[in-house]
Amino acid sequence: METAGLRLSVSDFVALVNQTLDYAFPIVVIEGEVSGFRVSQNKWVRFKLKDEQSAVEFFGSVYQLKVPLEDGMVVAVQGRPRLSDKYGFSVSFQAIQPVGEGSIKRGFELLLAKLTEEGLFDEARKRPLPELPTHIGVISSTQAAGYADFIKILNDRWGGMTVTVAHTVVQGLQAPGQITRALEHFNQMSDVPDVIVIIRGGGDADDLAAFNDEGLVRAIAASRIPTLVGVGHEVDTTLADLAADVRAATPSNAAQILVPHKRELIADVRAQVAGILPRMEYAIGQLDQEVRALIDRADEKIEQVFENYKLEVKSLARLIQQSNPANILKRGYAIVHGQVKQGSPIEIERFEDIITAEVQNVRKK
Amino acid sequence: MSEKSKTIEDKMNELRAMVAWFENDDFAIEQAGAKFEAAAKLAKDIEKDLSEMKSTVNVLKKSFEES
Repeated sequence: METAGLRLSVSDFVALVNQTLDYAFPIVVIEGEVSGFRVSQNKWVRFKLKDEQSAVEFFGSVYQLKVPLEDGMVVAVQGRPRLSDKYGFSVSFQAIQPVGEGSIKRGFELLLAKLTEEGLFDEARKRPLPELPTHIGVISSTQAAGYADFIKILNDRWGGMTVTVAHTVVQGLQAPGQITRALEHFNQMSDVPDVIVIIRGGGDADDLAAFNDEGLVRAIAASRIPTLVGVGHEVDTTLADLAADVRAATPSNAAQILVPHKRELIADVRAQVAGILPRMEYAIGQLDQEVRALIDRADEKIEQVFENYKLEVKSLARLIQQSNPANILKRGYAIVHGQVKQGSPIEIERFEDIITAEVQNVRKK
Repeated sequence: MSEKSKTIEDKMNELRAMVAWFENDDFAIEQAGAKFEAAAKLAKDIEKDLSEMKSTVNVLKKSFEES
């Protein structure tokens, strides 16, 4: 048969098509609705993506399926178009991300239920972050606004740290793989960081979908270094947030959680030193009281001794008064002066006068 | 460990221990003045360290794209 085209064997044709596809479309990203999703032998995954007019077959292993799929979900699939010598044309998928609010929500719910069941988000798994990290590993896009906010606030609050940054994309189909590899890199470093921080600023559900990737979520949970995830805004919750040891509402909040503010520490240091003064004042007050008490006791003792002396002196004075001859004469007694023998002159002294007399007789009583 | 090689955390722990001394049974009024001066000096050192410290940011050259 004479033809204008190339005459090829089937195998050559398959090889030529694959060569052409490799050259022209090594990787494609196709967006569409999932239909005919099935897993065979717990190993192989097949589904179609369709739109109003067309449908394309996808093929891959369960290990490559990082988001739960079900028919009706709209997803973006990255893969290599291939013509198989046995199964015909299909796209070997490498990464899948739900697209649109409904599909993202559904994918989130399915994976949340699965990983919750496995205990991946259990509170018991959570580790505390280091109090004052000296080496921080950061995974983010260095061009992202959230990254700039994080670094600025980190530097404003604290210093003296080494911040090692792994620059990755933080949205799209490439993001989960890149972030996962950065996590593995930090975990394998010889000088491992004290903490790994994954940050990304706000975005819509599609932008944040990378943080609901099963592989990434598992890598965060498996990290031997404690993790802090600050993705999106306060209202956004991703599975990466739930798997992290600590979740920050935003990248700025991540910096606030990570390190104290110098101001707070300075205030604390000043308060500690100021707190010593009342203790010293108290101790001095105690001593002062003790000294006063001792002086009071000494005063009392001296006063007591003095009183005793006064009483003794009074008593002695009374005795002396009682022995005074004048007082005896006052009571009517008299003192006889002179020799007591018959005919001798004597003087009889009374209180008010002295009588001169002569002894007429002396007899024994 | 020399004063220069101490981290802020080391110094904070030292300050906490100094402050605790004023509350524990070892407290002696004769030593209190000197201890207070040492604590105040350490607090000033910490404030100085805090105001002077800067962080180093290194962006890894490694690419994390799929090889």
